[in-house]
Formats: sequence, structure tokens, C-alpha cells
Amino acid sequence: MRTHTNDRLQGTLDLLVLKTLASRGRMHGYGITLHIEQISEDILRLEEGSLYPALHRMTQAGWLRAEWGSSEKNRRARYYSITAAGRRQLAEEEKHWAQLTEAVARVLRFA
Amino acid sequence: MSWTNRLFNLFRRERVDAEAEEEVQFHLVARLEENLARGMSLEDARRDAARRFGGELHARERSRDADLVVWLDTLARDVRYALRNLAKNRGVTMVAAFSLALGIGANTAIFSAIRAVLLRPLPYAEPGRLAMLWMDNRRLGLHEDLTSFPNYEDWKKNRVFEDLAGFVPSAVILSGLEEPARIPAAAVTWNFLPVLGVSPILGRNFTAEEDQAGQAQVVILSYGLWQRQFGGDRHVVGKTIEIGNKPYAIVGVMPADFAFPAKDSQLWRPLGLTPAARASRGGYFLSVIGRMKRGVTNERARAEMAAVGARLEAQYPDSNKGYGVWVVPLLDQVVGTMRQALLVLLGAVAFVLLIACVNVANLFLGRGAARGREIAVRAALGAGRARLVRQLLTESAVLSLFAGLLGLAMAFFGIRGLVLLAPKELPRLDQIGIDAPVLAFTLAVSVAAAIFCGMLPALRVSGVDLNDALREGGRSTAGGKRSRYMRSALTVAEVALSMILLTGAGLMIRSLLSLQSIQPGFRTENVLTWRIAPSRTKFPSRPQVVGFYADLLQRVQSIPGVLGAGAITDIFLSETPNSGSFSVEGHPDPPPEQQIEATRDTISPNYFQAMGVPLIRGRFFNEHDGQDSTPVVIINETMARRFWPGEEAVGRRFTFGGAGPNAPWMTVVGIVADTRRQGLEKLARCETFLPMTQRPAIGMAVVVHTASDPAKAVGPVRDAARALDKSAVMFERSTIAEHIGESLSQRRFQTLLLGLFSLLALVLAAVGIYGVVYQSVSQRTNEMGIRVALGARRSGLLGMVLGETLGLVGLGALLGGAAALALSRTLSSFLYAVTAADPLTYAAVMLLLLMAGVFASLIPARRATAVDPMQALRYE
Repeated sequence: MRTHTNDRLQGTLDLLVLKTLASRGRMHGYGITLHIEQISEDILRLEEGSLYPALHRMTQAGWLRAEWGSSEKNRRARYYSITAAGRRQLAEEEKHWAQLTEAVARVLRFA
Repeated sequence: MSWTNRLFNLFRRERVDAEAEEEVQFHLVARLEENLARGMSLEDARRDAARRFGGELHARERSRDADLVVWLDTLARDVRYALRNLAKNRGVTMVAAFSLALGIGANTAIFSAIRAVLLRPLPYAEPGRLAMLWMDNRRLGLHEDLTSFPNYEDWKKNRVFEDLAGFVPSAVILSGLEEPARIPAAAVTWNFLPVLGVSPILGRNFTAEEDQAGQAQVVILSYGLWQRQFGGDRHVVGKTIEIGNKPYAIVGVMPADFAFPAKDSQLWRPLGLTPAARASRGGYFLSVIGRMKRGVTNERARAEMAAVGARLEAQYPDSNKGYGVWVVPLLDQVVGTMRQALLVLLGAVAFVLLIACVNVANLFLGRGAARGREIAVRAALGAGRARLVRQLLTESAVLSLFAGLLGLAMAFFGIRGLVLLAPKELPRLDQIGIDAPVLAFTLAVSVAAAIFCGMLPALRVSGVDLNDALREGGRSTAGGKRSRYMRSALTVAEVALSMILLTGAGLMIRSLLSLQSIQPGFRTENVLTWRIAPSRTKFPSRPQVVGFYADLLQRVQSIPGVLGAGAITDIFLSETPNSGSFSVEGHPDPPPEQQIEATRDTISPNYFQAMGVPLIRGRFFNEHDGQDSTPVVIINETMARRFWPGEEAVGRRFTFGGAGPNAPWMTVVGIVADTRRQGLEKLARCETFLPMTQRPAIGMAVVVHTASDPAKAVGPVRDAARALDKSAVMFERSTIAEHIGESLSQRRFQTLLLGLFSLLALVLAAVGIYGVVYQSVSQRTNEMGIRVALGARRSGLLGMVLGETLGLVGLGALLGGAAALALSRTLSSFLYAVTAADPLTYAAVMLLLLMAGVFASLIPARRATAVDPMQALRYE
């Protein structure tokens, strides 16, 4: 199991990407951006430039699979989909997130 | 990712980079489009897209351009991208590369000629300091006249030349061989070689003592003569060579590349003038070359020597009135009129290349249009306009360099053709070839072509109006007004360039045709000409020589197939023919500067009959004109008109030199028609002909009029001469037709090349028009469809397309015509019997261009107007 000592934010981005791909299937980077913005009703706004290093890192870690395809407007785009390892990681991240939010909520409630 | 993949990625690093970049590009474009779709202004849309993406984007672009490794990396990627693009449109690419290659090849070939003839330094020490000095004969308007020895000595008293040397180009007869040979040689002052700054490779130069009359008979051999006659014997110095049956001691051998004053000079001997010749200021026979002091400009040398000339004119008015000093840098002298001819040709091939470039630029504009949207979007993102321009320029550079290679191959063959076509007298022709400077030139031309072809489309495409580009929804931007204007402008430009070239060629062709149609006034077909000189030992006196020629002509005349034979000292006149001033009986002598000189030639009685020159009045010479009878002379019409206007010239008397009690008055017995002996383009001058019986000449040219091919008479004529004198020297065998052909060879060469290049220009322009019309009508397919659907007649549409094209061609032809009018002044010195503004040539060329325009646009125009309206509309 990976530990997230000081890079919570990165973990958060990973979580959002993995979750998006797990629920929506194959998507390109821009699609992922739009999806996260829409679902969060524009509350979560990614710095879009940081999305790609994250995608590449997760691809290299084997959580995502990348492949070139053509977009709705018939242009070349790189599509990402989640792998089995990615799903495992997603479960892991979700568990962590739940633990974390629960912990934070508790503190907020009782402190 | 597995370790194998990582390893693989190491090798794919640049591909990974490229993919990452493309991915980012996709993201930005998608965002930009969405912003635009929401109605943002372009500027806002771009700023928003960039802001959302974050700061990384621009930083990356900047660092990319700064890093050399990355720069090279990008270059390699651009090249590969370009290659892929070019390969994708193989047909178009080949047409573009081939037209560029034609342009580059033509430029390379002409430049190699220019390099060999004009640019390569002469093989003397510091050749830039060498110049020829001539008498400027203002009386005859002849700048390059020979001078006298006293003048030469006085010319030495100046502040601009280190030293001057004199020489007389002449031929010598090598005797002591099986058959005597006549070889080009020169008699030179002893300091001739030091002034040129060249030393013999064997032996030594002449000494001042050897340059005295009656001194030791010494010679210096050319490398070629040394090899031929002495088999390159290292110990040749001190041996002798027999010239005119006298032994001469060999004192030196010159290097292989030394050939002065003539291309084929093979032997040098000291001038060794007699005291009388040294003192005769009016005896003009000497050519002079000088070495300027360091740092002296041609202008200063000219000015200083003009002053020297003026001083001599004042000091010796009798001999020097009307004569100045004329200085010509040696290279100019050697190159002569070929300089301008070659520069005109270089101009012509530059135009051809420009037309090829315009074609390629047009092609790129059209193709750029197809990629316009992609490029527009990238440009909109501020992804480095420089980067985009570079990408496009890389494409044209790859194309140009490929064309350069192809052009080099073409030039290789072109140069061979050039050498074959070139007039024989073209100096230094043997040195033409492809060497490092020529290669550098080719490379430079290719790069220039790349920039020219690529820059316009690159700037155009990268400067495209983004709102239009993006909103047109994927349709090409080529239909954009600005792009159309630019392509129209380019079409007009290439037509104008062709017009200039074709006009030049047209004027040259007209000149050549009028020259070729000139009747020179003498027989041009079936006349053999041959210089034949009897040996001095067998025919030592002048009457004996006359006897030799009389016998020879009689024998030749009786050869079967020979219709007539005659002899003359010079059939044709040089720029500086043998001439003299004379006094006319009963006319006061004009002042010296107004005197007109007449040429003097000795002829045999039947010369004019053999040459077919008609007698106007009086009679030809006959056997009664002997040594003891009245001196007689035949003059030409020009002389009769000039000196006895409206009078009967036959029976009048004149004398060469001054009139005096002892002057040998010569009586005019005949007047012959004018002939063009100084070249087809020159009118006859005052000419006199004297009978050989009264004025014997040592060497004459025999002319033989034959019934058929004059070559058949060669053997019998040789036998006739040999029967009279076994060691007679026979040289310069030719025919009148060959002489005339050679006199036109430079002009024919120039005309042929200019014609060839303008034809090339015409074809390229037609290809260009075809391409433009093709692309323009295919972009307007739906417009055509709508027009047809609305009931327009196809012939009307065809007329519309043709009309548009012809409008452009007409405009180009008019502009080109105006430019040609201005430029053809550079041609005027090459023109004959046609002015630089000859309306017929201009009209004909314009018509030719319009026809080419119709022809080139007809095919694509028909194709487009034959469109099915339904199908055309479906394209929308």
C-alpha cells in the first residue's frame, strides 16, 4: 500500500481522475477536465496543465492505459482508460479519502 | 509500465515528447473552440485557455527554443514531418522539385561559366594590377589601336605604372620538320615576362642585350611546344629550334597555364627592333601591357595616362594629333563582350528561378490552405509564430535542397551542352566545371529559393485570420480573399517575369534573323579560303613571290570543279585593319584629325570574280597592269561616294602618304560594290585594292570558288601548292560560310541560351497558371454548382474562368512589358536592326503569353465547369 505522507493534493487529483475514468470509461484529458468541472459544478477547478503529468505518471504506474484515437471532431487525441491495477488503486484511494474526510469531519464536530 | 517499456522509451524519447506536445495541443485547441463557441472574442478565448492550462505552457515553449539540443531535436522532427508531408503529395512535390531543379540547374550552369570566364583570376602575379594600354584613335573612334615604340617609351614616364612591356603577336614558321608548321608566337620586349610576373619553369627570361637588333637569336618555348617538339626534355635549354630556316637558341620554357597574348601562343622571342623602328613615332605596330603600382585604381591609371596622352599630343602634333591613351584592365580585355553577355544570361536564369519559386510558393499557399485550420489554431494559442514559420520553412528547405541536388545533376549535363554550344573564342572555356565556389553558389541559391518559396506562404498561413479560420468549420482558408489576392499577385508576377525574358529573347532572335538575312556582298557558298605562303628560301624576292601566286592560281583554276580562284592579303577586316591616310589629287589635304583612312589590300587579277563581287564601273585588273605600267587601284563604292560625290571616280588619282613631287599617284580604274568585310553588322568603310603585280605581298589568302562542296578542292589545291614549293606554308583553311558562321557564333550562343531560358520560363509560367486555376476552380466548385443550378450556361462559366485568368495574364504581360522596356536597354548593344522597344516583338510575346494562359487554364476550367450541380452542392 502506498503511503501519502505529504502529497495529499496529488493523491486527490489521482483519485478524481481514477474515479472519472472508472465511471465514464475511455476519455481524453480535456474530457476528464470538463467532467470534473461539471460534476463538481465548477467548484473543483483543475490547473489543467498539471493534469497531464499526473496522467502520464499514472500511466507509467500501470493504473491507466493510454492510446491514440480520434476525437468527436475527428482530430487525433490521446484516450485514457483505467486498468485493473487502477481499479485496485482507486479502491485504495477511496478508502483513504473516506478515512481522511471522516477524520477531518470528526475533528470539526468535536474540536 | 514494465522495465522493457521504459528501456524502449529511452529510444523513443523524442517520440514521447512529440506525443505529449500533441496531447497538450489538442487540449488547448478544444478549450479554445469551446470558448469561441460561447461567444468569447478570440483574444479572450486564447487568454482563458492559456490561463486555465497554467504557466507551464509558455515556459516550455521558451525553453525549447533556447536549448540548442532541443533546437536540433525539433529540427530533426520538422524535417521528418516535412518529408512525410512531401511524400504524401508525391506528384505535386515532384512537379515542384523539378521546376525548382530546372531553375537551380540553369543558375548553376551559367554561374560556373561566369566563374570560369569572369571570376577566376588570370594566371599571372597579382593579375588585378595588369592593364593593356592602347592608342585611343579618336579619328576612327577606335579605342584600342596599336602604338609606336617612341610613344611606348614616353608612356613609361608616368606615376601609376611600375613598368610597361611591349609585344607584337605574330606567327613563326617552324622549319626543319617534315612539313613546315606555322605556330602563333609573339615578339616581346625583354621585360615582358617580369611585367606579367611569370617566370619560365626551365631556363631564364630574355636579357636586355638580347632585345637589341641583330643580337643573339633566342626563344622561349611554351609548355605545349616543349612537350610536342622536344618530348619534355629537361635539358632543352641551350638546344636550338629552327624558325624560318634559321637556328634559334632555346633559353627557357614557360609554365603550362601561360598563354599570352593569345590563347594559343607557343613561342616568344625578343622584339629586337632596329634603330629606325625605335625612332619612328608614326609607325604603329606595338601592343602594350603594364603593371600598375600597388594601390592605384583603374580610374586613376586612366586619368593619369589620359594626361600623358594629351602631353604627347601637344608635343608631337604631326603624329599624335587625335590620339590619346586608352587603359583597359587586363581581365576586361580578355573577357571582352562576354561579360555583358554572361551577365544577361545570369539575369535570365535568375528570372527562371524566380518563376519556379513563385510556382512553388503558390503550391504551398494552396496546400497551406488545406492545413490552414490546424496551423491557425496553433498560432492562436500563441504556440510561437516563429515555431510555425520554421516548420513551414523546413518543408520548403527540404524541397529546395532536394531540388538543389537534382539541379546540380542537371547543371553537370548543362555545362557540357554549354561548352559544346559556346563560341570557340570564348576565353577560358576549358576551365568551366563544378568546383567548391560553384557548389557554394548552388547551395546559396537553394537556400534563397527555400526562403523565398516558404516565407510568403508561412507568413500568410501563420498570420491567418483566426476568427475566419476557426468559424469556417473546417473548410480551407484558401478561399479567403487575402489568399486569393496573393495567389493572383504571384500569377501576375510570374507572367511579368516571363514577359521580360521572352521579350529579350524575341529581340535577340529578331536581331539574329536580320543579320543572317544580310547579303554580305560576296559569295557565301562554295568558297574555300586558305592562306598559302611560299618559303623565303625558294622565293626570296617579291617578284618571285608574285610569280608563285600567279602560277598557283593558274594551276588551281584548271582543277576540275573549280570555277574561279583569286588571292588577297586579307579577306576580312579586323577591328584595326591595315589602313592609311591619303591625298586626293586636286583636293587640299584636310587637317590630320579629319583625315579618313582607307584600307589597303593587295589582290590577284581574278579575286573579285572568284568572290562574286560585282564591278560597278570601270574594269578589273588584268595582265596589262604590270610593274612598269601606270599604277592602278580599284576602290569600293563607299570610297567613291565619299571622295568624288556626284562625279566620275574612275580616272581620278590619289596617293597614300603625303602628296609630293615624287608621290606615286595611283589611278582609279574600277569601282566595286561595297561588301561587309568587317562583320555582317558593320557597313563598308573606304577600301582600296592594289594589283599584286604592282604591290607584291608576301603572304596571301587564296580563295577558290568551287562548283560543289569546297572540301573536295582541298587535296588538289594542296598538291598544286606543293608542286610549286615543297615547303610552302599552308594554314587557316576554312570556307566563307564557316567564317560567317563563326562571326555569328557568340550571338547565336547568346540567342540560343536566352531563347531556351525564356522557353523554360514560359513553360513554368504555364504550369503555374494551370496550378492556380486548378486550385481556384476546385475551391469554387460549389459556387459553380450554384451558378449552374441557377441556370448559368456552362460556356458562360468557362468564359468567366478564362476571363479571370486572362485578366491576370494580361496584367502581368503589361507590367512585364513595361519592365522589359526598361531592362532591354542592357540588351541594346547586342541588338541589330531592331530597337529595344520593337512593337512587333512586344505584341508577339504578349499574344504568346495570352495563348499560353488560355491553354493552361482551359483544362482545369473545363473540368470545373463540367461539375454536376447536385454533387457540387453536396460538398457544402
